[in-house]
Amino acid sequence: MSGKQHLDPVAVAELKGVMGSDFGLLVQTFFTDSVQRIEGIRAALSAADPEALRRAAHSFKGSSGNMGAPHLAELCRALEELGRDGGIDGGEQLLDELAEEYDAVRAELGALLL
Amino acid sequence: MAERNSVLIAEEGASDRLLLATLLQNLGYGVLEADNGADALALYQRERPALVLLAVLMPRLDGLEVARRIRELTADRFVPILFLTSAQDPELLSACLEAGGDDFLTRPYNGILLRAKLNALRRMSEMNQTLARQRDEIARHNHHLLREQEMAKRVFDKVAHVGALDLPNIRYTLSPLAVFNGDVLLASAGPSGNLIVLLGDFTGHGLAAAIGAMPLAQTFYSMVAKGFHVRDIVRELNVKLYDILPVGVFCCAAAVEFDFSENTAQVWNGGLPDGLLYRSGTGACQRLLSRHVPLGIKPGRQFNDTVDVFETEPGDRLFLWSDGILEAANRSGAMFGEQRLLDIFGGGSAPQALFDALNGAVRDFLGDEAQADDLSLVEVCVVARDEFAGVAPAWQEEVAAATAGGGMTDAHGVMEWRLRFELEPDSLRGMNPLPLLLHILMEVPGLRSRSGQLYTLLAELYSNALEHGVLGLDSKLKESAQGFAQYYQQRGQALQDLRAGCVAFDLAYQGNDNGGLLSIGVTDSGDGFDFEALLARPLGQNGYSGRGVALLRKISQRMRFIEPGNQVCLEYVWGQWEREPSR
Repeated sequence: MSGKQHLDPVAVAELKGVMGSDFGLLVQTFFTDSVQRIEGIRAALSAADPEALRRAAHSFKGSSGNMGAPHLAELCRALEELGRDGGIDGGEQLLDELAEEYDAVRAELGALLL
Repeated sequence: MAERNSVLIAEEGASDRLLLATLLQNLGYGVLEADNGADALALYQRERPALVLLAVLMPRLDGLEVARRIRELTADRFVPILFLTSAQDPELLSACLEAGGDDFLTRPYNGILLRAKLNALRRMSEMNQTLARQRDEIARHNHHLLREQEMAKRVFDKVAHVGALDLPNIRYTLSPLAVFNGDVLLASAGPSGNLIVLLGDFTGHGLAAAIGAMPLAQTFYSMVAKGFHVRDIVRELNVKLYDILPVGVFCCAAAVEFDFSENTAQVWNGGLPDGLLYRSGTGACQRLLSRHVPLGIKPGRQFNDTVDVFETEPGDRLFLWSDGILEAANRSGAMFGEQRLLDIFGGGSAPQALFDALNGAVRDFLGDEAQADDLSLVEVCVVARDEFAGVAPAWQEEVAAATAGGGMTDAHGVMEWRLRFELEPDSLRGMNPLPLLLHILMEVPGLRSRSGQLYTLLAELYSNALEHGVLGLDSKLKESAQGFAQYYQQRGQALQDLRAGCVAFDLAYQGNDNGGLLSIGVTDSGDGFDFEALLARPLGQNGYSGRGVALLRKISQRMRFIEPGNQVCLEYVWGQWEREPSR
């Protein structure tokens, strides 16, 4: 992977501060959530449904932002815009990038739980 | 139930929900969660949280719709709604606000900002609750005021019901809430068979105006029942109101005393619009001018009780109104005014139709039924003495009973007393002794239902003793129409100039529960007269002094004059009473 940060340390620190001992729970919930969301995007692309794509990407964008994963959020925003403009071309490629970014984020978050 | 510190979070994403819930719990709130709109709405209805956080996109029911329905459900309470969205699109944001949202929370969620927003919303919520509380308090006060007014009206009606407004020769229009508009209409018949009517218009409205009406009514009815005449009554009313009303509050009033035997109407008008006396014979109208300031303005010694005396005939109609009728305004703002009023009298209506014509004209002018009843107007029709229902014994007894005192009988019900009452020139000028003497007689329970006859006896004896005995006036002057006014003028002058003279009453009573004997003797300081000739005249002859003696002899027993004629005695018996052998 590149040397860029997949997690915003300031945001993560704030999350830790808010959640306290429940930080792990939050992370686990995010993991479960995210898998579903990525599936949702994949299904929308297969069905060639721009509206469904837009909604799924919008939601995932939100929760990624909350978790302090800015690049992940940015990729979601791109997919959301694609869906809003009514197209799905290029969606597969973005999804691949998205999945890759997610793996990186998951690894970094997982490391924080140790 | 409404939880002061509970929050509803409606958000599909589990991690976002968890984050928000934790943030809020850290701030001390209890949390309710829903992951779709329909559940959110159901949860809201059941738990009634104090605050709602709504995501825009949710399955089953979206956030905007949930917000709309919550607003419908809680019209009377302020429930802050925050939308969870990172959208920047002005149209979407406006839609959220229009659906009922109060503010937005954007991602990433920030605890400090969230707390500040919640505090601001709580301030709004509390202000809203204060307003609701004050509104409820105002509503309670209004309700209370209305109840008080109803009570005051009931109390006033009890005082006023003693009156004679329902006599057949009186017609009136009075607003149902007249006393709170400041309008008062009183009518009562006295023991001599006179009728006194008073229409009053207090400044101000509401309870302040109504409070003045109470002592006015009580004093009026009490004095009329005791036999006082209109001049003494308005004088006393003025003193009372002057004492109790604050500066700037007074009562415009007109009082009229009708004597159906002598066919006169005495009018005192202070501040009411001019009334009218309609002559049935000619159809002409005489104005009853307002010559005085209203009641309650001048202190007693400056009060002017002068009346205008009109001669009347049965069939004449006297009208009084308050300025409500003149100032009644229609939708264009035009006032009814005096000219329209006078036009009705000149309009050729039959006399008995005038009252209805007046009311109809006002109603037509205003075009509004409700407002047309909000004025005060009274018509009194002059009738012959024997047709006047106000002298009915049952009625008189009711009045006497309402105003009488306790009674003076001892344990066996036997009563015996005598009194002598002498009036010198100053008293003859300044006071009317009849109400006082009648009041004493009313202390005897058995005499209460006979106040009319007793008053007649006393009044007749007194007026003869004073006018013919002491003042030396010639009664023949009274017999002509113009002579009447002249007679009263002479009487007033002679009384003013009187330097020496006296009228004395000797009353003695014996009685028990079943009957009694009242002896009345009146002596004057005059030279007497040829009473034998008077007694020799056939009864039923017209002429005032002739009528007087006939009436006295009809009501009383053993009437006799004593040489040289300046002393007269008679007896009045009620129930079963055995006289002691004459001495």
